[in-house]
Amino acid sequence: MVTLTNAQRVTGPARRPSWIRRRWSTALTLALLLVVIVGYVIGPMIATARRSVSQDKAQVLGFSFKAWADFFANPTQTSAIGGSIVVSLLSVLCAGVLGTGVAILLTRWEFPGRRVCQVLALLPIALPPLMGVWSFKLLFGVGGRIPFAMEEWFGLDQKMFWLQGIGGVLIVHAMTMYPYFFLTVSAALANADASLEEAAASMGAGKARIWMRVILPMLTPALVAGSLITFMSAMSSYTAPLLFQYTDVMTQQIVIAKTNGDMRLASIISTTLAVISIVFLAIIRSYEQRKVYRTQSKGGGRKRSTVTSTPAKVVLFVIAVPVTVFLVLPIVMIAVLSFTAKGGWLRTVLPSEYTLEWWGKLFSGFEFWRPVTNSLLMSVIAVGGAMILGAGAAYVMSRMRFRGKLALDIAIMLPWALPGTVVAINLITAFSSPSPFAFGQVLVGTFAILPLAYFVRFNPLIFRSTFASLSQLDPNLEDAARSLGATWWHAFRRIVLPLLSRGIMAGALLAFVDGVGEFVASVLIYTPEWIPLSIAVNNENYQGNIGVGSVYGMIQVLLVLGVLIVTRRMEARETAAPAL
Amino acid sequence: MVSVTLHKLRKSFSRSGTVVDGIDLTIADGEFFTLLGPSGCGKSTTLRMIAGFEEPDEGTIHFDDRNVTYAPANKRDVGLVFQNYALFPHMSVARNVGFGLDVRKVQRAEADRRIADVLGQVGLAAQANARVDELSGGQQQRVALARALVFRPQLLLLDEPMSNLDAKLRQEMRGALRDLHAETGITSVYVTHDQAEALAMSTRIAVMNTAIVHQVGTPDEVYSRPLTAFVAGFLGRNNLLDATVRGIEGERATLTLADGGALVVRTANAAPGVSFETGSAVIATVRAESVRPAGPADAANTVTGTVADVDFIGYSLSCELDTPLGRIKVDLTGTHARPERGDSLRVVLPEEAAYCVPAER
Repeated sequence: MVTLTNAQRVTGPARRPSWIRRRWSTALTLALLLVVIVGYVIGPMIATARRSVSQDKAQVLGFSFKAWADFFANPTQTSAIGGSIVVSLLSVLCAGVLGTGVAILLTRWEFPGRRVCQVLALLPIALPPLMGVWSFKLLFGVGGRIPFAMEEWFGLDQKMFWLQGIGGVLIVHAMTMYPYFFLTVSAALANADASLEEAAASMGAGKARIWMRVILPMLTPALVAGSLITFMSAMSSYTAPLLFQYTDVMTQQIVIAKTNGDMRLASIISTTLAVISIVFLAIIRSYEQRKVYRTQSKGGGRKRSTVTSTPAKVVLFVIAVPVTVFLVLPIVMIAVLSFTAKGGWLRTVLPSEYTLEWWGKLFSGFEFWRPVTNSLLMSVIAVGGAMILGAGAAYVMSRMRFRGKLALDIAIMLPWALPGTVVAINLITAFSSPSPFAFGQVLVGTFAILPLAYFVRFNPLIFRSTFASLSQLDPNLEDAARSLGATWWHAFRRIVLPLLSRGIMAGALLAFVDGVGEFVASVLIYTPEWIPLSIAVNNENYQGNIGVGSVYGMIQVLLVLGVLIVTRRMEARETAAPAL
Repeated sequence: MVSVTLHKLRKSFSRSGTVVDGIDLTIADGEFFTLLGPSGCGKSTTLRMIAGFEEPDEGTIHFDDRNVTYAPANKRDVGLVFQNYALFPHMSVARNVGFGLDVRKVQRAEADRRIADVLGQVGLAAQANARVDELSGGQQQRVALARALVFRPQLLLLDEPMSNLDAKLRQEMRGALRDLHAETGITSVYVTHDQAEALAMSTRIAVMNTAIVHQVGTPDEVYSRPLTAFVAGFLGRNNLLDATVRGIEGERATLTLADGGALVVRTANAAPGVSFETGSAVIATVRAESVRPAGPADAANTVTGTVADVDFIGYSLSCELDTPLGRIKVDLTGTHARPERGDSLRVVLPEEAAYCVPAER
């Protein structure tokens, strides 16, 4: 045993102040994060807000609230605000009913064809954002194939079935946003604790009562989460109103104002929409903090009740199959269009003339591939940047405690909540003139602007998925590595990073998919030398080359499907090897 | 190996307040030292400060005469076994064990030899290439132990390493740990809330409660000669009786109990802080296993009560009596009659088994 004198006790390394003990890499990540958020998110947003109070409608000049007063006095604009809200609410209703219904149908009962339906019901996730809406328009719109078939087959006036304006927008929203409900409700049902239902039954509750008092209340968190996200997405929606010529929404008014050269008005609408998005983001984030109902008992979820009676089987089959076909129809439509000859689909339910001409373009040389490689290149650059920053941000946010963390969290997630149109307007206002955040360059009109827009939008995706896997990572693992003698960097590289790689990759793939299909922000800021895929689709379609547009659309579908399969594989491996 | 000296160690967190309040401890070279206490008593925080994961607000930590108070965890040369083992899920058993050797840049051949050696030592030679999630809880625990020992640290810290094991495995691991300690002679600090583990394995035990150390001593000392009412009550099944000293006769003192009755105790069987001056408050303790049914000849130190609860636990019958003194715990072994709930039972609190501790302030 060693006895120490008092003099010896006080020697040794002195305690360093806490700001030095924080690691330099943490400080660097935080600094980078702040630069990106201030430079590319908050700054541009403030620039837009500043522009909205300009005295001149094209330039930033002076200071006046008159334009705001005009905005709220203008019936077109107030009607667009109302229109956006009405469209969003109705979208929540339609997508909610469809998604919840399909989820219950496909997870609660076992019947022939259920598994196939379950896989097919996920396909609309692969629907490319722009070509998908074109597909809806050609299916359900004026002169669409579904109304046409109604006339051909049942002798009904096809005009009765034409979906125009808000009707068209709603069907697109319902069928593209129902996964927000389908996925969350399916997961909630699959994880629901069977013993709760059994407990209710043992206390004498009948089936109806169990549904009303046990199952539906348990689904509430899933339904609320799905509703919030759907509402926000519908608010941001631009493509559907564009193609169904429904201008009574804010996103359309922004683009109309910009096209008319009234950047001040575009800024006013953008700022209003941004404020709405921030409010919704705050609601969503605070809702996510609350408890989710989790299974407390062992032994997995409820077993599907197998339907044995033949009539019941027929009923389920008759409901499930058409619903599933209906959900898959838009993708099938794109595939069919890609084989349809020009003018070969006029007065028939199915095309009268097929061709391989459009697919043959794949071998026509590099010009055809240019939009594809452009989109891939820009997405890869943006995803690469976002992987470093988003993952770094997630690490800092999960491991450090500091003041203003919630505000930083909201700021990081903000570009996810902002409509693409608003992000584009913000970047235009901020980077049309030389900016220190662009190293004194003008970015609008250069290659850099689109990867920047994508990068800003992807950060939150990778941040979220990395944060999710970090919160499952046992913090003791890092401590264990440290006590075994590893430096912080060594522990991070050998332990943390390998265990996070799946979370980072999942977010990156999701972002990549978004990048390849991005249309809304791209259409406002793309440069002709660097046309992204969705713009190429749009240009071809407007020139009447819907076949070529469909081939591009199918390339997007295949890319998305490829990514989905890779992600599923990764998840499967993860469930096969659960972390400790 | 190394000795560890904690001097006036203090740590508080903004949320939970002061969790370690001025601890002084000296852990000798080669000791198996246990920090024992209920959850939230500050024992794990103390361990984390020794490991270097928390910095004390005040006080110092010395390994021998080296001040390591603010040294980073990776410079302390300390092996640590976590409660949940904290094995790296993406590495095999051998890679997990070898991590500390990689960090120290030990030659490949030498590292392989040492990994094989230590895996043999913990009985996992056959599982070297297994994934850690294929192992049972007990095996994972051995991997954690092997990983903490393979780089030959000067100090081994164990944070409730057995709390996730079932009773039988725990028994086995106790033996294995004791053997390992005997073989390596490594200074070990063991944190647990399980008194049986602490008593069975330790060279010395520090009993902690509410951020302070109540007593440091050998297992026998803390069990038989507790310093405070907390230690007396925490270890084993003990009856704590509030009493006032009535008077002394030679080596015996007579106490007045809560019901006005008398209890005779021996003045030698008392903790250092106890005063037998007439009128002083003391706490008399009598362990459940020392209480026995009264025979016709017994007169002093007896109390009669109604059996409120009976638990048959195999080797003994563990009873609780409702008496004028409150609940009295009695462990009946051997051939005593088996009382049933509601029976009346007269028991003796034997004078020689009574031990006095200071009344709590």
